Amino acid sequence: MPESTDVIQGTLDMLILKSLSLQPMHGFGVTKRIEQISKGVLRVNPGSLLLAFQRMERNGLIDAEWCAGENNRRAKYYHLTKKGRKRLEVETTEWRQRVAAIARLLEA
Amino acid sequence: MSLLRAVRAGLRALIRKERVARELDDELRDYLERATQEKMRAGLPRDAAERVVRLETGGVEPTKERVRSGGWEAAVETLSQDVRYAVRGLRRNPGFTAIAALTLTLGIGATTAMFSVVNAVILRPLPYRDVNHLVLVWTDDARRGLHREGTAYRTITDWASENHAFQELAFFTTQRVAPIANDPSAGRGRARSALVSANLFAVLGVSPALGRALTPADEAEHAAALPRPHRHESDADGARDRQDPGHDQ
Repeated sequence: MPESTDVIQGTLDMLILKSLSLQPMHGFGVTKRIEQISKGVLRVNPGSLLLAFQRMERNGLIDAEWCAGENNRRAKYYHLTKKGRKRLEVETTEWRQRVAAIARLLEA
Repeated sequence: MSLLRAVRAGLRALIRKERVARELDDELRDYLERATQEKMRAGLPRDAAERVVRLETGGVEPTKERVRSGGWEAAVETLSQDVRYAVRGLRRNPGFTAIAALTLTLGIGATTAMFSVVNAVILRPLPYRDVNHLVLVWTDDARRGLHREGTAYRTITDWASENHAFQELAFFTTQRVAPIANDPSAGRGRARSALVSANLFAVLGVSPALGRALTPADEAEHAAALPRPHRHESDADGARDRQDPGHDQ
């Protein structure tokens, strides 16, 4: 298995948007999902994640709701807004273009 | 709108500080608890799981600090802490504070005074022709302790007739009047009016914005109506509110 790395700079927002586009999730759910789908290649630190949540919430890309959890804890569940959904589409397209360009460069 | 949201979220963090801190604490605690449970499901005992999570995530306080420093309100918070620290320091050293305040006061005051002069004299000269040669002639009467007094109209006309020092002398005196308006909706402001000699416009090199300038004939007609007092009284009379520009070119 390749060594784990932190999420590539600038792609965390896109990965969060993608994860939340499937269903509303709490922070650890997003971390787990990114790690599982990437087969452990990408890791997310809670500091980076909560910081990104805060920024995206303020930019209107995501919204949050508190839900009661087990053991007197409560969990903050995030979901995409309309604007977030649109941003995900734009970022996905741009990302594909960039990856294809880099792939062409590496194969040339 | 996202700017509005950012401002609102920041203000909320500043005003409802404890509540926002508790929310961050709850969220992070929930996150760490879920991470710990997962390690325990993988077979670690609780304390080992907690230790691993702490190592992997970098600790609760540093993480919270990092999230708190993300918003714009963090800069405000830092600034207000700095201000509080500075105020405490100033309170502790009243002597230093007094000298610092005095230095600032004098420095700012002197600079402002200097700039006012430069602004009036160099940057914004009077809107007249040949301002360099325009002077205001005051009357001084040391005997009666009067200085920088206006000069009476008759005195000016006398000077003008025997004048060699100036190219031309003109008279004016200004006053504030409550204007008489037929239209009550025009309000009750106060206006400045001036009594002037006919040559004032020519001396200043300006023309009236509306209507025509006075002519020597106008002046002769009205000057004839002025009382001709004794010389002493004329000075006292003129001393009230009369200022007289002389013009020398």
